[in-house]
Amino acid sequence: MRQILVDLAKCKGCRQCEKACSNAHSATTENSKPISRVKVLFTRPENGKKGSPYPMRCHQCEFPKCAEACMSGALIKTKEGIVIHEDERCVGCWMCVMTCPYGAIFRDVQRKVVVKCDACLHEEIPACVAVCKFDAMKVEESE
Amino acid sequence: MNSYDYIIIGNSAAGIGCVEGIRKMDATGSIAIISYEDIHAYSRCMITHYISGHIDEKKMYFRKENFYTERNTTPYLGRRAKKIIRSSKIVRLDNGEELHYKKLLLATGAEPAPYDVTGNSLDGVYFLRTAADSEAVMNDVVKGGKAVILGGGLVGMKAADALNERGMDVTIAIASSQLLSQTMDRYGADIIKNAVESNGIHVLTNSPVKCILGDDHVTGVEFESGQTIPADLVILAKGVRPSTILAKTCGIDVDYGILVDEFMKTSDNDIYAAGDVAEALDLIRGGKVVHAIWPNALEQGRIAGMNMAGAQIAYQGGIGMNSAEFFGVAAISMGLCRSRDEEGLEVLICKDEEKGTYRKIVLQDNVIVGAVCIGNVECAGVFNGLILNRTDISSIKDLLLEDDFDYAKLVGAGLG
Ligand SMILES: Cc1cc2nc3c(=O)[nH]c(=O)nc-3n(C[C@H](O)[C@H](O)[C@H](O)COP(=O)(O)OP(=O)(O)OC[C@H]3O[C@@H](n4cnc5c(N)ncnc54)[C@H](O)[C@@H]3O)c2cc1C
Ligand code: SF4
Ligand code: SF4
Repeated sequence: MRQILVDLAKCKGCRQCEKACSNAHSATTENSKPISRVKVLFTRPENGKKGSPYPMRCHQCEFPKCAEACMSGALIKTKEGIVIHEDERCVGCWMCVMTCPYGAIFRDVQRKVVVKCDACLHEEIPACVAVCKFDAMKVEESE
Repeated sequence: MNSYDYIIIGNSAAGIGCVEGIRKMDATGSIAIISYEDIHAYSRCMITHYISGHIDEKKMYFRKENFYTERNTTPYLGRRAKKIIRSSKIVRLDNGEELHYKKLLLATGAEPAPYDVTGNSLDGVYFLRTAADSEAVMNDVVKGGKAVILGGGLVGMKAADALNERGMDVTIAIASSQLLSQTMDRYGADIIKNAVESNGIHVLTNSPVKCILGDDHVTGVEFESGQTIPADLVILAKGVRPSTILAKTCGIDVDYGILVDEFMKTSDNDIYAAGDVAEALDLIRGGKVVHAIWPNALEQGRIAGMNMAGAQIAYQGGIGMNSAEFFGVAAISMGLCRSRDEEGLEVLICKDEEKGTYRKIVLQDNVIVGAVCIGNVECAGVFNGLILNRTDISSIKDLLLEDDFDYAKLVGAGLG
């Protein structure tokens, strides 16, 4: 399966991955603003300065809490090991938001559906990995 | 007689979770799944969305239509299991057919609690548990007609929302003083009450019902206070109770629900139980409890399935939790968070009345045991993870109520 890995030591917190991700997923968002599926968070601020960056993305959990909580079947773990989301089935109940321990599911409030990382399965390289100038993101393919 | 390695009674969250769990461990063992409902695996939680007209019948299915064939599972739909004969490991169906099992899962779920009030069987009075119920309600919806929902739990609220959307004039009547009184705290429930009331749904609190009025078809509801309101449609939404009849008659241990150990096994070594029917480990308080919610049913079913197929996976225990959106107000509650749970616990609260946001964290010895998030719900999942992992949050306590609290704060504190 495909895993997107992050090397925290290399991340500078420039947030280019966020931009690349929302661009890569902008085709399907109708009128609402495209939302990135990766979010660069920061640890506790220190001495008035921003903390260290932490690019938070879906871990494609082995037993995904989000999909087990999804009452519509919109979130499904595929044979490839990726948890995918189907907009047409989603009813915006936010059960998945309530259960993902990383906060890796994002609400599109306008469309009343969620979005999450699909590992850019149909692309050779995920958009966030491709754009990162600092080599902080890596894609790993395993059996 | 047909013989199966695994038989599952119940074709809903727990039953389907079990098929998925078995197939993680055992690709070839034979599986049969039985349900008296003659319909592909559908989500009960979606039946109000069906009534509202947001989705069609097929969108209630929570797994693809080729689910059974892909997993080499034989469905017995429209068949009720009548009896379990443990000595010979047989399930007898309502058509007399007998099926032999090696391992059996009871995932018979719950049924509406009986509501003993005069008029409860008049035409136009419904329980709301199955797809068939929702079909019946659908056929009775009259735009501009009056609907009365007796009960203000999640099912009642979702039903009110759906009927309001179909253009009915909806009243929710509850005996207590608070909506969602089993799951939400008072302040949170008041925000939700405001939202539904300002969208035209009436809420009658402290209104115990005396009787439902009508000759053949319902015409109204009379309350103990003497007040009467007209009704064309009444939904009885007074909660559910576990469907334990099969378990009781075959002699396995049943308390309120079917008692299971940490492996989801009942008092019979070859019979497991999961979901709304199972009384399983409570993560926060210890002891056993029925948390009748979708995520727990699916997870328990999956764990039972893996164990039926030879794994030894322990259930970590469940918590009560709920999430829904009412008229644009997203509301999540989990763990010990009702106002009456708070005694002896530490409570952190922040609210912004203008923005309509509210966050409450309930702590016991610096471990989160409950939370409410309204409006801004993005970090609810992180709180959920902290509850499940029983994380000591001392080092990030001052950040829990911050707007930008998120997973990175755990990582920074070495808790990620
Ligand atoms: C309207 C509504 C809205 C809900 N909304 C939410 C929500 O938003 N979030 C949430 O977490 N939960 C919600 N729930 C609760 C949720 O649906 C249940 O927790 C969940 O369905 C439990 O799954 P289960 O598999 O344990 O049992 P059930 O869903 O009750 O299924 C039981 C299965 O067993 C079968 N069965 C029972 N007895 C027999 C027998 N003797 N022979 C053959 N088959 C039998 C039934 O046909 C069915 O297939 C809602 C429930 C309702 C009714
Ligand atoms: S969204 Fe969250 S729970 Fe779901 S697979 Fe990704 S990390 Fe796991
Ligand atoms: S918001 Fe959508 S994806 Fe998330 S649990 Fe609800 S239906 Fe499933």
